[in-house]
Amino acid sequence: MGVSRRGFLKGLALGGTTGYLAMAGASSTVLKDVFIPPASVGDFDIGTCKSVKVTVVSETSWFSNERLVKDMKDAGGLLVNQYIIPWSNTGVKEGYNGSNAGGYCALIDLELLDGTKKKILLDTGWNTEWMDECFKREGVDKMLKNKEIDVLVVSHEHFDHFWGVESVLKNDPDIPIIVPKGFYKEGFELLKGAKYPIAQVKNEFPHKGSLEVRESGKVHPLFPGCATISFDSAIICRVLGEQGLVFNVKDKGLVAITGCCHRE
Amino acid sequence: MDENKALEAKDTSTAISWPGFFAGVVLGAFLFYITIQIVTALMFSKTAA
Repeated sequence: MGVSRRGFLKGLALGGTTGYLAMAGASSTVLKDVFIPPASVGDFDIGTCKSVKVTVVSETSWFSNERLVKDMKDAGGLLVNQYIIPWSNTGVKEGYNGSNAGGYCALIDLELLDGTKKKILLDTGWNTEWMDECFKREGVDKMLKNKEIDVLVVSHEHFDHFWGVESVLKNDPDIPIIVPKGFYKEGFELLKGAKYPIAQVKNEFPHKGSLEVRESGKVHPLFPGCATISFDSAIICRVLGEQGLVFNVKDKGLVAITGCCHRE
Repeated sequence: MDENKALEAKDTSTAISWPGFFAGVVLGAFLFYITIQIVTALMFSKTAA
């Protein structure tokens, strides 16, 4: 006895649902590498450095997770352009002066094998008032004024890692800046002195130093024993591209320092 | 006896078809794969959002 069309369609529907769900499960387990190919950069000799020290200048990216998620949801969801989201900057009980914006920033002290010392600033934080205080607390403002910091490495374009760039540039507008490939036009304009009233972000101190955009999927030497690695990461709030720092410390091994580690 | 045979025939004709089920599994898996490819393409597009 043959199968009716109705029986075939019932099987097709049940099988289709099973197949869809099974593939969803497989995509995050056994087939993970098919859906998200490993971002291998191959073997690369970055040399060796003597030591590396990390000072976390600020790790409070924002004060209220609930408020941050609400801001994103109210603006239309996770893929909305961060520059057109009206972020909460008042009325946040636990925030800095009522603002939900804080910021992430780290100062990295590197010593090369010959004793030469280098300073790298990783990210700039978000809220310029908050970052000004953090920089003052750690003495970063004076280091910037004295041109002691060799380079600013921006891990990615997210608000909490990049929008505090004014706090850096007001102290040293000539600092060399390295950004990952994927930066949007708004980000480059912010470096030049743009204002984004909806997102309440601005920079009144245009960048005058060198700006380097580093290609994705490659190891980029920075100093002997130190390199950046860039990735083609698509991240929430319409951000593309991320980079991290890698150090090869003598007698210790590799040390990776990242901003958010979305992909690395 | 004839009545029983008729009932058996009726039951078989409405049962879930295994060929249909396996075709569905392949189709469903393919649809998920295509969905992810489209989402990925949009996420990496500079003009998206």
